[in-house]
Amino acid sequence: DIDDVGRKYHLELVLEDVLDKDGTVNCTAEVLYHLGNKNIAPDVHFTTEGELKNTDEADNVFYNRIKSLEKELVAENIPDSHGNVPPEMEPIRLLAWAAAGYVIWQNSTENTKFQLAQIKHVKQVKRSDEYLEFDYTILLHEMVSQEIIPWQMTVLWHPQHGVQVTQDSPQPKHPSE
Amino acid sequence: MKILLVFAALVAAACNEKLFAGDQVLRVTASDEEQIAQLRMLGEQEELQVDFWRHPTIPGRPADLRVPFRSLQAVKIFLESNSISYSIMIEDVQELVDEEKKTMMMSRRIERSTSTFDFASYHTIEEIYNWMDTLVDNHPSLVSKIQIGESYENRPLYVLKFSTGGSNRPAIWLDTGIHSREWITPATGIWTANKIAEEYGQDPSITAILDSMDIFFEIVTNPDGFAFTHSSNRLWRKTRSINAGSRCVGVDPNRNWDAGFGGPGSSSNPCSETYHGPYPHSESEVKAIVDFISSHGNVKSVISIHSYSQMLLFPYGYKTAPAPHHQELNELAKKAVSDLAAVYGTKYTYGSIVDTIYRADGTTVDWAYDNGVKYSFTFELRDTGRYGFLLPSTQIIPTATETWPALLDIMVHVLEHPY
Repeated sequence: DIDDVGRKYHLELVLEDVLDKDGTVNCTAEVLYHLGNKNIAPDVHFTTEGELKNTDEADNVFYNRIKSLEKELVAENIPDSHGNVPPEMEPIRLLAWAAAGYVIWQNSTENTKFQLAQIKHVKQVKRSDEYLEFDYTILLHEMVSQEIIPWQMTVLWHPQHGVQVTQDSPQPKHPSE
Repeated sequence: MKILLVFAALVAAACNEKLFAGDQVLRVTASDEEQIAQLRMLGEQEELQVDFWRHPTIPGRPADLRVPFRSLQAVKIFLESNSISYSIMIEDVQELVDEEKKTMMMSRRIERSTSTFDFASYHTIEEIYNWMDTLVDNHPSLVSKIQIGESYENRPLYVLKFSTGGSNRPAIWLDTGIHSREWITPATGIWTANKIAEEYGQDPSITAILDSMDIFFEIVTNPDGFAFTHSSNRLWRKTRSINAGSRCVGVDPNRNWDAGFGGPGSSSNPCSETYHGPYPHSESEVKAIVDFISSHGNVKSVISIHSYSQMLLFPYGYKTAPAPHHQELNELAKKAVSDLAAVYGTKYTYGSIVDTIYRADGTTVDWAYDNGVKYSFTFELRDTGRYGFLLPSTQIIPTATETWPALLDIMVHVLEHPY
């Protein structure tokens, strides 16, 4: 506890590459949850030791595939009810996961635990520049309250420039949901 | 004629009557026109009730006659005294009818167990309820199906009873699917129920357990919610009961039990996923289990299966004070989790609900524990969030397979520690 500031956690963790089980990276981090205004995201500082598998080739394949689509990509319910993800949608899901990480970070407190539950809808937005843009509606699952929160996020991505969430906002839930 | 016979046979078979006992079918070959005429005359004699399956037409071509048992002697004397050659084609028509009925039933049974229920996919309520009947059919001396009540929308609440006899033996209660979006749980439940039935008599542990104890297994504990996850909203959690004065539907069935009911580990807002309901046991799905366990009076363990998080939990959720049997429950959980991890390396955490996951009031296991059921556990199955509730069906069998030794550990401990 830090008086008048908040609560700081020191963490030592191991990051595991989801796509390469043997790929692990040690990580130390400090997370500071601010006292008072819960609308400020926690401060995070971290260092990593080691390197993860290079994904340039797969990134470029995905990038070129989307860039060359005649019609904008549109998809829904990823994964579907049975947990299935069509292989060509896997990069779309991974991108959402990375972007959702940002949204989760921005909305976390000591009393929340968010996971990405599902991509309800995703639509590609064609751009004239080199970036890929996707408009996602995702469902976040918050563990403590058990709530499912629909969230809209606009995601930009480029193989060399990484992921960016340019806009995001929680969506109202329908009473039947 | 033939149609009437078939119809009569079906009706008789349905009513289990033996309409054709002793009847025979004779193959008769008339050698000239005179014999053809004689056969026709035979058919016209009402009191004999001879039934032509194949009519006499021209000499040399066989005719088939079904002759009722009581007319057999008379018909045979007639044929012999007129030198009409015949042979007995069917010695006893009833035997054939019985044989066929048995074959039909057997093939239906074989079809149901080998068109094989697919344990590696997720199923609808209808499919699960049908499978339950198949399980009972395939293991009639071990498994029976009982109904403990009805859901809000009047769906039957079925429980599979595994018993080798006795009278009100000490029992283990298992439930899956209380939160409808946790599809991996009924899927694991089905595999596990099947495993229990198959392994009795093979696996020493389950055999020892079932030789002295009964197992009660409710697979679809929240059928209304489950149906809703198929028809409308895959991520629905609660029951589907209407909340007076609110547009929001449903009560969290794992906050509706009378143990710390209404506390901060639940919500008083009907729109919330953890809404505890208007009063304890307001939900018929919960009340049915409460009534069952209370009136049974000899339940020694309650194991309630949820997903996701990979945890093995025990009371309490509604208070931070450790349960009186905390140490024993903790040791047992530790062993179970270790045996689970030994299968595929899946890591579980374990401990009391409040220490391990979050404060939760009005839960199944807290109620059970406070009502004398010492060995009360909650499982949170795979995964830890990568797929969450939408766990791929390819993980059903691995999940069930790794959970099995953990369940056995608990059940064996219950067997070996009577109280």
